[in-house]
Parts: sequence; C-alpha cells; structure tokens
Amino acid sequence: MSATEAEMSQLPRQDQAPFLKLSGITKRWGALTALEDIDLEIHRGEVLGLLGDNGAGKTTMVNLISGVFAPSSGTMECCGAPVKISSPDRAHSLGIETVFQDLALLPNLAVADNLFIGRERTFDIVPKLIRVLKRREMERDAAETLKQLDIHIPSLRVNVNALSGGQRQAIAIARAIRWKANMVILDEPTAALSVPEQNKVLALTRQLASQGVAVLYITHNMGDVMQVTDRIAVLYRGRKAAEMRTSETSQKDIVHVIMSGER
Amino acid sequence: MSAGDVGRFLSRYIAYVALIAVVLVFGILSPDRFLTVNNLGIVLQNTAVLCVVAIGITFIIIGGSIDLSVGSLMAFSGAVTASMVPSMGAYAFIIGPLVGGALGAINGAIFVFGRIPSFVVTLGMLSVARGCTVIFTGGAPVPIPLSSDFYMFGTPPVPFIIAAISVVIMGALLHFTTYGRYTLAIGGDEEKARVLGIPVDTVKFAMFVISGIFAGMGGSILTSQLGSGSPTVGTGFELLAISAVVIGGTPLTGGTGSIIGTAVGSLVIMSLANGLIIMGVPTNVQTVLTGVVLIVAVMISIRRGKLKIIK
Repeated sequence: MSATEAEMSQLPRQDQAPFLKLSGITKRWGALTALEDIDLEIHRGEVLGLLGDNGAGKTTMVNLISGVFAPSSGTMECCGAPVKISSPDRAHSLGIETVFQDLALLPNLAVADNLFIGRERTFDIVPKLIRVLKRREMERDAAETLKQLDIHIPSLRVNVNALSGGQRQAIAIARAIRWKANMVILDEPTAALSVPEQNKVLALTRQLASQGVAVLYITHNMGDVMQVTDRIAVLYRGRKAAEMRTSETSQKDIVHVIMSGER
Repeated sequence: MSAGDVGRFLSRYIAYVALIAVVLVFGILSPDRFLTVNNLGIVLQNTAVLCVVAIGITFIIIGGSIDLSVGSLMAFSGAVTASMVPSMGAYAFIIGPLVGGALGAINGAIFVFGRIPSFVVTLGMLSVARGCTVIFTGGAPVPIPLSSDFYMFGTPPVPFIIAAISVVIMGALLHFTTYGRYTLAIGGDEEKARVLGIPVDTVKFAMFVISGIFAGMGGSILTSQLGSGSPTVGTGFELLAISAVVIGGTPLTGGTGSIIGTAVGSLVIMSLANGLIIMGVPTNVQTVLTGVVLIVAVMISIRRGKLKIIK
C-alpha cells in the first residue's frame, strides 16, 4: 500500500464538504417569520434528526430544501458549491428526494405510476411535447425496487387509494430511494403507522444512511429519535435552539430544548 | 358484489349500459324505423360533431376543471371558417381549429395566469364569443358558395371518420403519454402534482387549447353540414358535450376518465335524440330529457368521497 493510499483510507468516506450546508436561511411570509437565520450542515452517511414543536418551522425547512419555495434570504451550498434550489426539479437534479408528510402520492394513479411520476421513462415522438410512456419497462423496474426493499404490494397496477397507510409510506420511501438519492428527507415517516411498519421504516432509514445517503429525519417521536439519528437539530419558533450528537444527550434533555428553546 | 362495487361498476360502464338501454327501448318501440341501417348511419353522422367537441372537454374535466364556452367557440370559429371558404375553399377547414385554439388559449391564459376559476372564465367566454359571433356575422348566417369543395367535410362518412380518428389519437394521448398521465395526476390532486414537479400550469393551459381546437373543428364540420356559418348555432351545446363526457364515465370531480367513454356517451345522447324524434316527441320534451339524463348520470358517477362539501 503506497503512502497516498494509506492517507486516503484514513479519510472519512464522505466528502470533506457537507452534502448540504445552509447558512443564515430565513423565510418570511409577509410579517410572519417562519424561519430565522438557520445554519445547518448535513453529511453523507448520517441521519440528522430535525425536531421541534408544532409550528417551529420544520415543514418550512423541508419545503425550502426540496425546492417547493425559495428562502427570503440566506445561502445554500451543495458539496461545497453554492446552489439555489428553485424548484422540485432542481432538488431532484441534486439528488435530493423528499418523502412528504402527506406522502405526496397521487391516489388515483397506480403504484408504478406513482414511483415514476414527473420522471417517466419515455420515448419522445415530439421532444418535450408528445412523450410516450414506456409502461412495461417502468413496471418491471418498479417491481424490482419494491422487491429489493422487501415491500409487498398486491399489484403494481392497483391504485394507491386502495393501499394501507403502511404500504403507502413504503411506496413513498421506495420512490425516494429508487432515484439513487444523495439526500433523502423523511417528514414524520412513522406517524400513523403500526409498530411493525414503524420498525420497517426505521430499518430502511438506517439502510439508506449506511449506503452513504444524507438523511434528514423530521419527527415528533422520541423513540425514533434515539433509535435512528446520529445528530439532532432542534428548532424553536423558527430559530435553531440546539444542535447535538444523539449519543451525547438524553431524551429528557431533548424534550427540554423542544419545550423551552434553551439547553 | 357489494353496493360500492355496483356503484363503481355503474359509474365506469354507465355509457355502455345506457347505450344498450336506449337501443333496446327504441328498438322495441320502433323497430322498423329506429333499427335500420339507414337510421343508425344517420345517428353516427349526427354524433360526429358532438363527439369531437366532447373529446376536447374530456381532458379538462379529467383535470378537474370545466369549459362552458365550447358552444360559443364552435359558433365563432364556424362563422370565421365560413367567411374564409370563398377564398380558401376546402382549406378553410383548418381555420376552425385555429380560431378555436386561439380562443381556448385565451381561456387557458386567464384561468392559469389570472388564477380565476375555469367555471367563471369560460362562462364569460361563452358570452364574449357568442357576442363576437353576432357582431362578426351581422346577425345573419354567413353562406358558403354552393359549389365549394368545402362541403366534403359535412358529407358522410367524412364527419364520422374525423371523429373516429380524433378518438384514436386523443385516446392514445390520454393513456400512453406523459401529458395524459399528468392530466390525471392534476385531477387527482393538483397540489401534490405540483410538489412532485409536474408542470401543472402548462398542462392546464394546454387542456384549454385542446378543448378550443376541438370545439373549432366541430364548428368547421357543422358549418360544412349546415352550408353556412350561423350566429346561433351551438347554443346550449356545452350542456350536451358535458353530458356526453359525464355519461361516458368521466366524473365532474376529475381524476379519471376515458375518451372512448366520451364517444359512447355522445352516441347515447344522439341516439336518444334520434329515437325521440322518430317517436314524434316534441323538441321541448327532448330538452327536458337531456337535462334529466345529465343529472342521473352525475348521480351515478360522482365520487362523493372526494367532495367534502357539495355546493
């Protein structure tokens, strides 16, 4: 082994720069300030828990990072380079995938359609205008993705509104994963799930991080936080109240910060 | 089969059930006049214009919006087409879809960029386009020269062929392309569609252009069939077209639907009208029955689960 190789192997396997770095991010809706001066770093291969009471700004944060709307001020860097995530498409092109709290599944479309929605495989008769769906190929691909994740769905052609809550959650996560994401945002992924389904989601989350994906995990559930996260950031009324390592803190401390905004 | 299954089955296949019912009833009541090859051919020819116009609206209704202006769009584009026949001959046919598409684009632009409900925009356009038609024609029909090539578009079986080709192309657009998929997605949940990166505004704008193009094409065919561009033609046609779509199994709540269903729905309405005429039922009673059929179709096909409030 040469010296350089030895040096290389001592480096962390993630890039030196965080995958996503937020600096001074602020979001205002008229007179209302939803987020104020947020600094946050998210690295590949870690699960960062984002906590906070209702209305603390968690969902606003998700929407900013996934490109649903733009911040009022502040900057973002992706792998060290400044970026503007101006649309969901832009987020996708950076490899940022979001599993929204409401799952953002289209109830009247089939499972396979939902996995590919907005990014269908097509052959274009008229580019950008008349794009014919490659349905067989997408269905095959969808079946494979679900099999890899050990998700069981009666049929890929069944509409999503015929599935259970756990199945829907699994589909939403599968959609995020199948795009070889660099970063996945999970917004309250275990809410409204049965215990076995929750465990499955937590296992999927760890699996993602071990594959080198940066995971932003938004939750209310303390059990989830202690079990799945590496680091925690707590929002309090639109500001970042604390940031800590999960292993160096306790459930009681975290709850205290969430409630009071002070360490 | 539970009650829910029966309801779903009915709302999906209501058009086919209704068509069989209509044919059976008139076949029994007047077998020697309704069930003749000649008469059924007439029904098909009469259905063509309705079918073409209803196909255009189908996309809008699947997407969860509505277009009330198609009757007036038909009249205006038909009148402009008629005025171009002396100089352009058969080529004037293209004027209808062009004018209709332009008016549809105005509908779409006001709806999407002005953020005004489609119901209001197209209700306004219904009046605007009708008024423009009367101004343009001076209140009298615009005649077509008797010897023009243009008559071919109204001569059987051309209208039927145009309708059949439209069904195939637009059916394929709905079922096999991203455009169709996005229209369904928007009808299912517009907000989520937007979050998922679907170009919602473009798709919605295009729906109205498509509807306008098909209304204009209907106007061209009708002008050819009537031999003139009439300022009063197509009054109340939006009701017939919407009925055809709804009877065809596309609920007004959007999110699902089919083009073939719309074609069958158009057939139902026109066979009903034809049968009633054969039976000697007065026109006004026919109008009453058309309304009844629409309400019954909505009763069966509407997805009440999706509507939190009925208003």
